[in-house]
Amino acid sequence: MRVVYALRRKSWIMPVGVLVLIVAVFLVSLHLGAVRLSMKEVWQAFSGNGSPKTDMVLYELRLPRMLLSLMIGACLSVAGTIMQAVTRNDIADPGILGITSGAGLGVVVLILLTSEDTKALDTVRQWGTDSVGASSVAAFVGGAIAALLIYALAWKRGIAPTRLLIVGVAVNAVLGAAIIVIQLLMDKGDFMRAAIWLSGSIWSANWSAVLALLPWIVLLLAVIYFKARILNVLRLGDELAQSAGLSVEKERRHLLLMAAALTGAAVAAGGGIAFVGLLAPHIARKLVGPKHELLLPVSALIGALLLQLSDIVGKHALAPSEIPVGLVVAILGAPYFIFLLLRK
Amino acid sequence: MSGKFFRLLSPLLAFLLLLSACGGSGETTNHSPSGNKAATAASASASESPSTGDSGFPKTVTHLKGETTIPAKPTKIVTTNFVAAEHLISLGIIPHGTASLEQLAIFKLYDEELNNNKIANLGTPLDYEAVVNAAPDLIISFDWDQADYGKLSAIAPTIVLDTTKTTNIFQETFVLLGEAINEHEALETFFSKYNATKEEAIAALKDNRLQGKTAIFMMASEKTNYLFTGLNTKVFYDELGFKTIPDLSAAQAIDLETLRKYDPEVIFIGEDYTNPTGAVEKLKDSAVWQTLTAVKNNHVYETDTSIFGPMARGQQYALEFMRDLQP
Amino acid sequence: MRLQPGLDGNERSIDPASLAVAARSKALRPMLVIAAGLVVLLISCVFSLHSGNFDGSVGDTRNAVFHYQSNDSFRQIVWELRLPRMLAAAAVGACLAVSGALMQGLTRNPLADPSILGVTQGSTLAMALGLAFAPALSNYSLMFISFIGAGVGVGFVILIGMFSRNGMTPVRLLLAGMAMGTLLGSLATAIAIHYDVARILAFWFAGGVAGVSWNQLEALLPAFVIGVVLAMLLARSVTLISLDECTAQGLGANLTLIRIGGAIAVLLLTGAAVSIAGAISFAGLLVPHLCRKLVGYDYRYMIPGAAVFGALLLVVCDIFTRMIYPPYETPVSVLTAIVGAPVLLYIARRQRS
Repeated sequence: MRVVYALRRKSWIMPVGVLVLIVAVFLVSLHLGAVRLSMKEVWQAFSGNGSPKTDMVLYELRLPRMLLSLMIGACLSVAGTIMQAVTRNDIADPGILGITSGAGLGVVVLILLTSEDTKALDTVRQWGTDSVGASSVAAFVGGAIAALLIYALAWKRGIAPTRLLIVGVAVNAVLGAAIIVIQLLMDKGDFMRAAIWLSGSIWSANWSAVLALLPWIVLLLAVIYFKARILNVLRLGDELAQSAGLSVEKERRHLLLMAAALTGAAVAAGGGIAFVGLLAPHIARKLVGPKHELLLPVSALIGALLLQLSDIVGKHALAPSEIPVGLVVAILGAPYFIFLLLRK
Repeated sequence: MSGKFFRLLSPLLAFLLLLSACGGSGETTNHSPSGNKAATAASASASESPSTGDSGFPKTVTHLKGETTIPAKPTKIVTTNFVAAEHLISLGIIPHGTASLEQLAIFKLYDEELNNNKIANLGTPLDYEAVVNAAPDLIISFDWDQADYGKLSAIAPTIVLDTTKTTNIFQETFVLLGEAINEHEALETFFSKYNATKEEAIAALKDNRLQGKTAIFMMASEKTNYLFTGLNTKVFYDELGFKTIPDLSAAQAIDLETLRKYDPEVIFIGEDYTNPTGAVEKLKDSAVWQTLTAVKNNHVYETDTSIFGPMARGQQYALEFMRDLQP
Repeated sequence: MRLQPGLDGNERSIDPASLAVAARSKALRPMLVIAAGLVVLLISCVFSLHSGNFDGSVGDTRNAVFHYQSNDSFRQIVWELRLPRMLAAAAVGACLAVSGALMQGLTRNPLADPSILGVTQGSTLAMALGLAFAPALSNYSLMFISFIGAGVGVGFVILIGMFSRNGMTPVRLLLAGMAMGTLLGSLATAIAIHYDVARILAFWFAGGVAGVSWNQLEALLPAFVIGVVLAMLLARSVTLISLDECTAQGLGANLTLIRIGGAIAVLLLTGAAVSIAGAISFAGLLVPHLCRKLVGYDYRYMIPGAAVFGALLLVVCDIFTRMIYPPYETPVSVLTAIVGAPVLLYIARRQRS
């Protein structure tokens, strides 16, 4: 007991601890892969003395993927933390807003259109992006529409948390059904591509994706951190929040928007990964407690770590095939989650 | 010191230790030296043009992503999807490696090449590091497999073929690929045999009076039956002379009732090759199936589904299959 | 008399004697509702027999059912294809609805449903394993495997309930169920992708009774009957539990035994339904909700009511799968979602903030 109390006062221990873990996993992951690289070669490449092959493997292949998985993990877990605070319900995750399903629907529609209709494909090419870039746009648009739909349906002189959840369940079910229907219209190759996207995959990670995501993350995470106090108060209840001087509805709307933006960016980059947003806040809460000043950064770090680990497992467990990272997160995370639940 | 920290995160820590210990097992063994020799031997004998081995190279190819120069006749070609690999095999070249190798193994048509050569499996989806390991001198990609051109071209010269504006199931892409690597002779050989077989098939179908009959091409599966239409069956309808059923021309799936309603005179049926669940047998047991005209007249033909796909050798086999039908 | 919140959030006075009196005097209304439901169900069944791509008049359909002759193709279609399909739709709908009603009562959670608590996903995982490793299985074997999968799902839900006796709030149970469902569903998808059975499994995910044969119905029947009978036997106890666990225990109900019995019933019903028709959403969630409004809280009426209205929901949806875009079929999960989502939204919006 005294240890825990002492721990809370030195509240920087937890985040630093998790950060150390992340760096350690990072270093280990750099030397994993089909191309064997010893730690010495890795060090050489980083100090500018590496062979072209080593440089290429590290800089083009491994580094962007690792960075992307860290960023996506952080985005989703912060979004999940916000959702759980705003809905005052621990079963909330970013998927509730419908963004994951909406994005999925956007992407499968795109895949269906561009496989059969060459005009659609030409239009996509005219945008100057390849189909991967187009998927991100389709994901973003689909997610935005779904989120707006859920918000509109849940709004009745304000957003009651329970109502938001139920509306989310309903709309997600409809979107999910639509996704399956469209998938069944596809031929096998397209079907598999869609299935992999929907399960969440960081396969197409490259530097442009990393650089596209980075400014979003930095900006959003910074802004959200300043809202930490508001999140603390919101979690206590509407009446308490109002008496503390907050305009509850306005703050809720802003926070939901930010959660949506984070989720949208993450899903556009990495596909349908949802479970991290549910799991990471729970783990973080057990480690550092419910105050958002500490919870938000630790949540982000834990989410990053989780996704990083899952990506490594997904990539190497069944080599040369890859298991989509969203599935690995669920398979590894769910038992751990239940374990945490039982320990309460 | 922070007991709670370690207790809760210990599973993660254990995992981390496991990872670094197993760091060595990160290497995937997907290439063996003996296979390399066999591969080079096979490709050397297959693509020999007497004494003009390297003519035409270096060559600059214009493709979907721009221009790529191939410096010399490629001997270690790697493909990012199994259809491209198939095209190489149909041209007599053994690919050094391909993504989704297991998709080729499903069809008996490639047994010989697959059993006698070690072709690297580059993963599903494509594992770029496996490509690095394979050290190819040319990478062939199609527009639809979404492989990252930037990453691939950093490893080896890469060409990306545009397959979208094709009007036939395999011909245009096949020719595009063959010409890009200067395999003009192999292409000629293939197509002369292909066209000859086509003539033979047309004659045979006219003889046994199957020509002109309505036909459908389907694949039976556990929960549904897929219908092949469009480019997949274009050669059968437009050139071999089977008649289409207009209402079904865009269908993807068909159930027994609809089948009974339209009652085609000839049925070509294949089993879902990824999952033999005995669906064809279950279909045959149904009383409604037995009332179909095609069933009563013995015009139901079971086939390997390779005849419906974009594979060159599969399409050649399709023509042979049609030619050898017994009415 | 004690005031306790019931499943709809309103407070009720719980006094066993008055409960019994109230129940008896209100017995008529639920029975009328169920009878009306049955009538509508029968009408829909007739419609179901009549819809399909092969055209025939109403008279033809009637003749087909009552004057079966094997050499007429329309009659064959009705008997071979449409009749088993209609019966399967009704049975599956009933199974899922009763299963959902039991789960909602036993977990005292109005959001409980076999798919939210991971039972359906357990069946799907079992199916995925079956399809990947032993594709040419008989119908009975497939159903058996599906039962095992459903059992794993149910088992875990029960275990989690048992292990956290003191702290297991409904929300936590829901959380655990969702985690379980996600885990099993993800495993199923991973196996499907890796062993290349993803497309077939997608049909299971989409759900549907198309192509159901008499063989499959034969396999379904025993599970259905046993499950419903078991549910009816437990009905009174489940009613008490759903209202207030302490009173139930006080009246002599053996909670563990009832929970296990309920779990077995859910296992049988859901396992059978999923093995025939795949993962159909909403039936188990929505129908009990509606039944509560129509026939009340007494499970002796709720269970038959759920069976009737569940069957009705699915038969009607199945009709629409064939009518929306002929000659193609729309998967039934789209329709249950289209029907179910607005109802759920309506319920959500009617709640006090």
